[in-house]
Amino acid sequence: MEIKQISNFQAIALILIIVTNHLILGTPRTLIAETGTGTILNMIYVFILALLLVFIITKLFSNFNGKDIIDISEFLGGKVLKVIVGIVFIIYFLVILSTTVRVIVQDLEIIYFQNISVYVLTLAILASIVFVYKYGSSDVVKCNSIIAPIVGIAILIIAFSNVQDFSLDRIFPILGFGAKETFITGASNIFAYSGLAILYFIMPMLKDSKNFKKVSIVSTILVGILIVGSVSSLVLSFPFIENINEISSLYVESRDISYWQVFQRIDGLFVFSWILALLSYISVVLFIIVVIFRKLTNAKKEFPVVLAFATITYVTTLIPNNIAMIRFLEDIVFKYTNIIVAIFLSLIILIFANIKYKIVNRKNTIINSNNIENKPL
Amino acid sequence: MEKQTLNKFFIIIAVILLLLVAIFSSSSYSSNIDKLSYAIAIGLDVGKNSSMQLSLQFSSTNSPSSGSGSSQSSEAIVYSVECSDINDGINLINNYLSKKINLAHTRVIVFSEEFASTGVSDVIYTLINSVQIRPTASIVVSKCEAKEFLQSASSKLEKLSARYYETIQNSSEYTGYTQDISISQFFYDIQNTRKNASAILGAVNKDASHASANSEQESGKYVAGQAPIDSEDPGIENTGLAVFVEDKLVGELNNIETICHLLASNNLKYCNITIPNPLNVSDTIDLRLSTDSPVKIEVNLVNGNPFIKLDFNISCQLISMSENVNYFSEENLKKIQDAVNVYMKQNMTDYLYKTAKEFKSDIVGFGRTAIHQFLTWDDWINYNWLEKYKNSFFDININSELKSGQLLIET
Amino acid sequence: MNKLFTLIKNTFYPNNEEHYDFILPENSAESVESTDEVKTDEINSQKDPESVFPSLSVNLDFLKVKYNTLINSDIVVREFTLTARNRQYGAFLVYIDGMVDTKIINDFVLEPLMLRNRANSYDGNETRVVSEAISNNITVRKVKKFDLVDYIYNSLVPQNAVKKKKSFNDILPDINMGNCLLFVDTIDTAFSIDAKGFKQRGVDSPKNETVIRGAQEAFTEAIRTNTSMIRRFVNNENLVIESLSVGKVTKTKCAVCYMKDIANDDLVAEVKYRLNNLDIDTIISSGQLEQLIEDNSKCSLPQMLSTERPDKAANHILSGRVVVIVNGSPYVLIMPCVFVDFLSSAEDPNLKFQYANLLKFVRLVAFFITLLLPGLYVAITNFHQEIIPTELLFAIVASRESVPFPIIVEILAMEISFELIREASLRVPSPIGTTIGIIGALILGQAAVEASIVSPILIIIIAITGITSFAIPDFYLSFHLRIARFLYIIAGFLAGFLGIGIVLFGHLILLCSLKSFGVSYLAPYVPATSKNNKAYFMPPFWSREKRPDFLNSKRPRKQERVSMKWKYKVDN
Repeated sequence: MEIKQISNFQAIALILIIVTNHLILGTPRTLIAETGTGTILNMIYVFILALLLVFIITKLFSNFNGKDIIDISEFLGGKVLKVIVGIVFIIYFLVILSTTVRVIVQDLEIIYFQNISVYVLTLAILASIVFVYKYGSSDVVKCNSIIAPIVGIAILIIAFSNVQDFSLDRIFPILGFGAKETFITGASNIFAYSGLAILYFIMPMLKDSKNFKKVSIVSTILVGILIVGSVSSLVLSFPFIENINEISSLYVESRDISYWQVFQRIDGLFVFSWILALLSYISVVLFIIVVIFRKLTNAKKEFPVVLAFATITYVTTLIPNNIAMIRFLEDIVFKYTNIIVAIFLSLIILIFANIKYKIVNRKNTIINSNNIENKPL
Repeated sequence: MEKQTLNKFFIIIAVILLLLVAIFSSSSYSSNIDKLSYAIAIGLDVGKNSSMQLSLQFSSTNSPSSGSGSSQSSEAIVYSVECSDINDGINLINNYLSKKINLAHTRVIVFSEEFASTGVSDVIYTLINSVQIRPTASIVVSKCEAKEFLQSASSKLEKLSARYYETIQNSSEYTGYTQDISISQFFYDIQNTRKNASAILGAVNKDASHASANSEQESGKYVAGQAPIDSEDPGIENTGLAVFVEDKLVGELNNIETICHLLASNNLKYCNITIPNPLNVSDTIDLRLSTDSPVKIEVNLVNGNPFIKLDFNISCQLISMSENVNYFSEENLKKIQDAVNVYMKQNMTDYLYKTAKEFKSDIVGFGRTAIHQFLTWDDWINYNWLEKYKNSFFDININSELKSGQLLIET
Repeated sequence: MNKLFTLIKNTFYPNNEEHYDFILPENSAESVESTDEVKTDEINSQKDPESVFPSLSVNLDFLKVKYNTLINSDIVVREFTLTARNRQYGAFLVYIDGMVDTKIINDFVLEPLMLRNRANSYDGNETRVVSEAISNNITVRKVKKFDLVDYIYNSLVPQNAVKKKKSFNDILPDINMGNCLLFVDTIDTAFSIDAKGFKQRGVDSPKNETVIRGAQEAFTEAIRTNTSMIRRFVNNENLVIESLSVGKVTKTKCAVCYMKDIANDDLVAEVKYRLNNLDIDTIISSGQLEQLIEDNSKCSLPQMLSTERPDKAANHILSGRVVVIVNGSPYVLIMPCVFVDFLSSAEDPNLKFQYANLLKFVRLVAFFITLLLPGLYVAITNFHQEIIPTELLFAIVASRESVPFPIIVEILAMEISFELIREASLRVPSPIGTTIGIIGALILGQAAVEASIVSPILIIIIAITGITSFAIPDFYLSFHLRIARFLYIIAGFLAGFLGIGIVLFGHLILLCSLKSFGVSYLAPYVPATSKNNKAYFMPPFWSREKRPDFLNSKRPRKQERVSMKWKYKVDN
């Protein structure tokens, strides 16, 4: 059945699953390529930036209890702005979804399923998601809250299984490519936290609006631990070499894990958990897209919308032809779309909405006080 | 449920199942576990007629005679082919064999000396690119032909050939005569700006190779293949390390030099050394070395050249014992410690200058300490450590402590 | 010679004798066009009179026709004369032979009614004057009229359970249940006298849910015995046992048991609503009832616990659940139930928490093994061989050298034969039971391996899977796992870990979507509600302070914070 309310833990799990999937992609490689050996410093810096950002967002949201960003943009600019913002976010989520799906399925095809083509694999995955959606979106969110912690723990296990290969020398030279690159242009690494875009939409669904602050801070901290943990383990395990570009850094790291010389190459088990994560991710992002779409159009039923967007995703997933285009999508399109839409656009809307709110409030208090004065005694 | 919807339901399920079977059926059978043969080792030589000769070692699986299922025999089954590159060779052998070759359980990759001196980076990159190869497979440079190396890799003590390779690499942990180097380590070290790559040095130990020993043998220094071991069937021996600059082989280390290498790069677990007895000149004593604390390395750049200072803390345990002697009196203790210090310092100095002057290759990895002096990556690249290493100076300080003997303290 | 000829003729030529051939003819009622809805109402009572007639002979004739007493050999009608207030009335008893205790009827029904009972005799001269009023020399007295029904009911039948019944709809089930009915001339009330005396199985030890350290009693088929066992365990006046009847033909008695001050009212109302709105003919066992009132019958997962132990049922009643007992079935139904209940056994509350948690962990591992092991084996050997350690891989390959079938065929064949052995062993007569076990399992398996039809590794896997499926306490859950296991095998064969991942995801979604009487099936994990809810792994007994949160009971706390007051002094 359709979801009405989600609990705190489910909201945190929604954000976690998005970030873990982006970590599986190739985000760590982009991060390390950006800042070189100074990545660890940069990661901590970006984590603090993200925390600040989330504080600001919760403060800006505090005036609008129970509304999500679509409602706020309606308040700010009427129906026109609402539709524009809605469409922008739908396109954003579609781009992210199709990029992620394409990259992960391509990786799977390279590693395990060389005889089956990508089209068939993607079709199988998307068809099963649509089939599962007939139970309704509340089950998807509940199931996600089971899968997300498992996958998060699996990623941390990969990150810390290679502890004997860690060598602190690999973080030198500490400033990487330079102080400016590490801190100023390196701030663009905040795109790794783009899973927090979900925060803009969960406010109406939470049982109690006061929990929004708690949810956002806790999820940012958990996401930060995941990102900092996995990226630092990558930096510490492999020496930084400028030109190496591999498909999925976490996968390559997981191939190195060996316990007692007997259990080697257990990357298959981690790939299993990543498959579950991918399925959960697709359903969660489809869920958010459907929520936005239904807000814009007041569609009554959920399932046809899901079917439509799943088909669109399938078509867009198959647009890139080869790995060079996929790499381009991953490195450039993904990164900059995240920064522009998830961070800047929303911040701007929130700030302007807050300003308008204050102006409207001030007008109202003036009108009220005028009314009180003008009341007949 | 009414009959019609039940029928529809079954029809839909049947159609879906048929579709799935049709789609996925092609892939599974050919990679079935029965249809694959697993190569345990890969050997690469310079080919006579073409650019390389590829050898693959398989382990045969005995068909169960009593029905209870036994596993591999220890005979080595080696197939070789002349080819232009490694994938071409695998294709040719695939065509020849009945089962499909799978490299997922390869333990060892062997290059011959000749092949290694011409540059191995193509092969290494191809192997790392492959999905099947394990990153924990070892790299061995063999003094004889790789094919011969693979063919001799068996022993009466081990029934399973794959485990033979595993245990023979583990032996380095307690002898210190070689180090277990995996292909992923090697791959990163080839392009690493901080250090140069090294690989295991191996050879077949037969009588012919004993004859090539020289005076160094008397002082206990052997390269792979030279240890004068007499056994019924010659087997492989991994002793020493092969030194690379970028991807070409430039030299090799013997066993004592490898001990020094392990000490300097902080990888030594235990080893045994034999030094001349300070109390009795014509005799020798044996000690077991291990490290208390990691070696302290300081790298200073003096006039653009590295000046490297090393401080070692070694703890020794006396293994040999003779009659009428008390090694642990204060005077004797000091004598033995001094003897160890002198011996190790001599060998360490020889070794380090050999890497700097003769090989020009920083296999210990001093670059990892030198990089602390630089703040940005571009500075480091501009300094070009690997070129500057050949001008380095060393200051070595060894401090050994004789902790104990074994059961006897005094005789 | 003739004999030989006859023999050949009999062997090769068809016999000319007619074979006895019986075909079930079509019912004339079914040949009617509209066969969709057969009104079940019409089966029972077309023109049944509603209430008892005042005339005895009419009642007698009606019952004789109804019960076919000329044909039915065990319906007994005993006519006699009843004396009350010095008047004689005709009467008869009707009961089913074999279901009543004749001693009770003789001593407590017939004797007081037929023999003159001086202690209760009533002359008739005493009339009870209620009030008297004199006016105009006319005395008006209100006299209490003599009521035969009350007289018989209050004074003449010294039997502990007597009910007055006016309608035949109530009387007929009572006769069928084993009561004895008394009809008296001139009154339109019949008396239903409880004289049940049928033979039943005594209280036994539980056959399928044995524990080491707990009560060794099990439910029986009679509903009163079962309710009495529950009453003794709960021992509280707030325990309510409501009686309903389900099924138009069998009118099976069901009892709904709950604690009035603990169970949620809406839950009880929902249970009774579902039980009362079943439009069926017959209910014989609790298994049939379970399929009729569960939330989602398309799914093969069980949504209600069924148990034959009264202490387990009492435990669940006291936590706020509702128990339904069906007459004729020794298994009672407990609702609502969540997934972790099916992995808990009856022994867990009795043990120390360390042992209980160890056993629960073992059962959890058994659950995953029995579900996933064959599927994972197929997936790993077909797609992901690098996970297997090298020596094990060579052992597997060596053992499969001469096996002609691919792994999927082997696994399916072995699984199906294991199921066949399981089914067959249920029906083997006990003298040769153990022999068949040895033959089937050991020798056949051993011989199959030696004949190189299957590989020994596969035998081990199938055996482990089978053994772990018996480690699951609830029988129905292990059924579901048996079915699901085939799905995983096929998925693993088709697409390796991807297939298993997709099926596992679908399975999880199915689990999340199920509800059992309004409680989410994966509660209390999903949705994660309160922090204090320790659902599967149990804390020590003195720390189980609250009842399960998802039951929304009226009394959430069941222990004080400091329950061992002898040990810890609490300052108030």
